[in-house]
Amino acid sequence: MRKILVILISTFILQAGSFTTAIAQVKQVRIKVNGLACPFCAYGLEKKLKKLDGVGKINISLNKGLATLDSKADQSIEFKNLKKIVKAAGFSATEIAVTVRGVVRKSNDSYILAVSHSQDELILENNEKLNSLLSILNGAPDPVSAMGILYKSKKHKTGSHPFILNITWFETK
Amino acid sequence: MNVFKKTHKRKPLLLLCAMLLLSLSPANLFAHEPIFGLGPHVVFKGGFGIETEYAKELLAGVNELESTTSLRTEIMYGATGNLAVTLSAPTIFGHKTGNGTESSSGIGDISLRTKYRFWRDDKPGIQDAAAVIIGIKLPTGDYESTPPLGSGSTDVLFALAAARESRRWYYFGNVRYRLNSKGNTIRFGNRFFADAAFGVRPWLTEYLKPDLVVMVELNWEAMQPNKIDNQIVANSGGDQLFLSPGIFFTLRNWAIKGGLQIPLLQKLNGLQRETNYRYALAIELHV
Repeated sequence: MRKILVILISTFILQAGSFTTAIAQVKQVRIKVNGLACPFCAYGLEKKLKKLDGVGKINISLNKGLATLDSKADQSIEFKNLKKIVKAAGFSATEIAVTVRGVVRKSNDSYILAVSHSQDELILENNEKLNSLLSILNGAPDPVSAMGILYKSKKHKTGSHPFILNITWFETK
Repeated sequence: MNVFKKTHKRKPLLLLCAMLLLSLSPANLFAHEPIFGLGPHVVFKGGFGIETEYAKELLAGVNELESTTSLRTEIMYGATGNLAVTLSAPTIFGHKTGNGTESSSGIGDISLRTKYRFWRDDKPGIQDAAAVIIGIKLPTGDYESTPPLGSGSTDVLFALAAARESRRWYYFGNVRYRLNSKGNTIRFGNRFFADAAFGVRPWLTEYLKPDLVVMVELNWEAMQPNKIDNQIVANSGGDQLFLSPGIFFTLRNWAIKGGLQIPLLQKLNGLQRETNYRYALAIELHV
């Protein structure tokens, strides 16, 4: 009986672990980069972005002025210092869009997308997309995939919620 | 009439070689910058730019041709996203006249430059920038070797460069002033440079694809006369204006660059050999 209990608990822990990994990801980051004029200079940007935790494939489009970062399997892309990193490479990041998977929860007067595996939390900006997402979830802690524009909160410069996500697309699968 | 009379053959030869060494010192060949002028480009923070450059100048005297070659290595380090430090050292220097070939090898006059990009305005596919450059050339090269590896003087460079780089077009402009000090016995005249460059990328290739930029420069050099024992050397100093086509070919973090300087105007004091052409070829790697 004890043996069965240990197996059951172990299986539960393992499954919980893989579940957390699956739902806790900044899967893609798209950075609009100003000043990108030459391919040779873009190497510095690639090199700097590659150093970020969780970054797998990088695609830089000079004609679109866009750097796209895809996460490594089961890893979350570190996104907190993106503007600083782009600046150190000699360019300016004007807009950062992320595709993130997480769980929505209420915190005080706002909703938060918890990227628990990486301990990142994004404040969700109140807009129509958020309202329709909340009505679909109806309080259930289901995993959500969301895409949106990321920006730094002027109100919460420090602490655990320095970033706001303005959702432009979501999926509740 | 040959300006190099046999009775005073060695000293003027050394003087000329040292002058050529100074004139062949490249401005800065980093990134998509003019070959013979300067630009405001810096390498990314924590990055290194390593470059080896081969340069040659052919002079025409009344009776003979004279050529000078140099091989130079430069290392640039990006201290910040807007500040770079460059160490430049020529390692081989060769000189050829109708009378024979002479070559020297070893470390030449090491130059140290800092470039601070004090202004940058980024737009989609466009970067406008301006930088100030301060450099010093140290008398580390042997000025008594034949041909000399150094000028024997400590010289200071001040420059201001600005540029607009876009996906298709490149525009560069810069002014430079080199304040030369007295070397062993010679004080080379100070030099003023002004350069303008225009470039075009015929094919808007994406990152990781081979990329070509074609550039044309106008380079003006105003040289004050040299002095020996406080006496002006009559056959020194003057103005030169060059038209300089060049290319940049890059693939990811590798670049091959080359440019040719063709004289448009040469107003040289006294009797001096005029420049037939100069060219520079370089390979550069960013890591």
